Amino acid sequence: MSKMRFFFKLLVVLLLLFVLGTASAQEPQYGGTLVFGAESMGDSFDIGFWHGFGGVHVIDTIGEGLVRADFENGGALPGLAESWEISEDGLTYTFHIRAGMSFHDGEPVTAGAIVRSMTRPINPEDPSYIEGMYMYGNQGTSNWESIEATDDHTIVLQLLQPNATQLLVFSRPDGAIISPKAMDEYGTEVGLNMSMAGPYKIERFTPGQEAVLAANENYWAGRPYIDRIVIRAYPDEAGILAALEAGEIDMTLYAPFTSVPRLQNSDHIRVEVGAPLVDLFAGANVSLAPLDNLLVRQAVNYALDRETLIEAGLNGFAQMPASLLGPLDLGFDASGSEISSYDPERARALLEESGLDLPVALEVAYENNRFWPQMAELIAADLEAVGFDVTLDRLDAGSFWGKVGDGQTQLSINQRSTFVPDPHDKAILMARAGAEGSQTQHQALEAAEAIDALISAGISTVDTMEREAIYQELQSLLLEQLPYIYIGYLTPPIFVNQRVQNVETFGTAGGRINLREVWLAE
Amino acid sequence: MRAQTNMRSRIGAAWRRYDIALAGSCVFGFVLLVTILASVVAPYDPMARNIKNRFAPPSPEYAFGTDQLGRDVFSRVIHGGRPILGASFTAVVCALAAGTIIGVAAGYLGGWLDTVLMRLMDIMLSFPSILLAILIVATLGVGLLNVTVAIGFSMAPVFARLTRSIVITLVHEEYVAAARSLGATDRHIVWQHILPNLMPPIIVQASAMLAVAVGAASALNFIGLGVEPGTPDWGMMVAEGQRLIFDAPHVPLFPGLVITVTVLSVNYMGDGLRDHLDPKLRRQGV
Repeated sequence: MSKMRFFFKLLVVLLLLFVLGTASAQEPQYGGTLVFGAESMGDSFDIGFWHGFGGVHVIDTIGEGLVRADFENGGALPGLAESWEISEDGLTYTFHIRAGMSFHDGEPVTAGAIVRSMTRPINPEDPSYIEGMYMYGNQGTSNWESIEATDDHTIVLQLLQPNATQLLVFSRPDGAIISPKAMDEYGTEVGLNMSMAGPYKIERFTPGQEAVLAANENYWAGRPYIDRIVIRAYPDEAGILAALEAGEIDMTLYAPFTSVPRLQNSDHIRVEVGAPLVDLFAGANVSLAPLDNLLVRQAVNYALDRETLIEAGLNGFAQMPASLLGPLDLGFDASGSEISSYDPERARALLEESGLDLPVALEVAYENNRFWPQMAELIAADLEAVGFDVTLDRLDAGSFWGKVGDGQTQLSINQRSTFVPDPHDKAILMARAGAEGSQTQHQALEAAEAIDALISAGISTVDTMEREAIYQELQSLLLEQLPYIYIGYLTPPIFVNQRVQNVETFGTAGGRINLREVWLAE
Repeated sequence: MRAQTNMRSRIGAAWRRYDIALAGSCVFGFVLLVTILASVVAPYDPMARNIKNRFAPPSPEYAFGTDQLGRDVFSRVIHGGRPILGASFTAVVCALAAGTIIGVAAGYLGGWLDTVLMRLMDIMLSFPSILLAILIVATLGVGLLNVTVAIGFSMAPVFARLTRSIVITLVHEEYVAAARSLGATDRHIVWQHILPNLMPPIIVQASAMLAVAVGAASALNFIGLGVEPGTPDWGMMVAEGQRLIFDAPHVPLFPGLVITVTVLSVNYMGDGLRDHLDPKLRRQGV
């Protein structure tokens, strides 16, 4: 009996130790250095320009806008503004700025300082103004009637037309607020000396190589857990993978997908799966033969064996597609998956019906990085199997976008990341028609006007239910016209060292890493 | 019986003298033969995909394993020599022809033509050959034909310079002066007296340049300036497989190994050829 009691007590003690141990393991810890492996690192962090994803990761880690994006549930979270009101007509935004915040350089964050930063792209008098800061175009400044700081803690923004995405675009990297002191002191060189109000501040920056960021002790939401974050660029995927396995880096999005099965068995690396926030698609240039023919576009659509593309090209890290919008987007219509399906017989019949001589010559352009070459090869095989004669056009990223922008590509495969959890972030691809950089040149479609009208309605309609209906109509129209042929929704693997805890898999999957709540276990 | 013994001893002597060169020639000959007979020798269709059997390691069924699309790496390596060796041979032959014409013209005619042609060659030689080739492909566009042109173009000055230097010596030889005094035309002198004496060193140079051309063609295909993606080609296979070096090393390893072996064997073959054709070296028994 006494033996039984002893074992019972021992069991209770062990259980208690286990529970306590588990609890302490879950307790966030302060300290440590996290190294993030990026695919590039720009020469500046000026938010008026694009500096590759490495640059975006730095800005997202040091910067803070009026609001932050909630990628998991949609909508906006408080940022520098602790609250806001939007008038019923959707034209007046009143932001209430938190008290007691400061920029990394010690300058107080006031409504006036924020307005100064927000009007940088439209104020040529500002010493930090640079002509052609195209990234600010996402902020919707052309639709601003006025913006003013009515006192130190209140900003009133008056719009010309309602803009359903206005609030969320303040969460973009180009919506991060810059210290007025830095703007005055460094002028047009402010990008090399960025002072913002985010959770980390720049300690050291080696252009093109790495940025060392230190915890901001005065961050409004409290000091972040990690002492130091290093965002370092690597020249290729193999280099990133080697560094990850050697424990040189703790987190990355850019290791090869093909390594996942092996890394999942690693004792020090964990692979988390990101949310389906990135669209993969083939943009068809509808202004050029043969893709100006709807039957040919439909043939391309039905020729693609997406299951194999996802399995062999992406190692299974994608979901089957439905339309331009993803499953987490407002107004997503899953019924499109019937159209985005594999039917080679139908593809052959459509190609014959097109009246073009077989095989139909088709050029497929793609970027020479990550999984694209393999995807292109698989797509070419699928297309050739139904009667196309495919020429693959492998280009570096700059040449790819140059060719796409000049309307010189026929079929070009690429992706759309979600920088803002709003359907317009994807629909904007179509809004570019007629403008420089349009991938599909969709102004050549008969339905171009209807598409444009829906895109305009989607942004100018404030009511959520109405917007949902608009985006469903837009998806149907795009599936009918097929300027884009959908390949899948990427669910990217996020590679982390086992010591990295509390990884946010939503924004990160969309290209917006969020290290605010991340901490390192000992 | 004696003849057989003589033959055997001669082969033995040749082997002792040119052992590495003969080994190189045998290996290169084997690579060449396999490449020519690729369609017969390869066990599988190099383009046949089997997605369910991706990254299979080397086995009796797949000697070099399978790649990211389940294609047989062994069959692809066998077929993969065609673009590179084809481009390399063509480029060297073209460079040899163009360089010889330029070199003979400059060396034989001399004067302002010599000055202009040689300064042009100097300018071309001042660029690293691979960089020059990349510039040419970037200008002409991507494709195996343009890679061939680029390699040939970048190598022509080497032949031109060598040819000129030899021709300058040859034109002062007594037999050339004798032919001229007998009323021989320039064409006759070049065809009958200059070119035959020019050929041995040019052939040695060509063999050396073939190794360089194989390396250059592999490099240009590796960086995507030559063959289309997916084409079985050693350079392209290494490029496609480099990201798999930790997960499926057999994918980039075997084509890389074949490039190395081929370049080495051509180099050794060239060394032997030089030893054999250079009378000074032959006399010294090197």
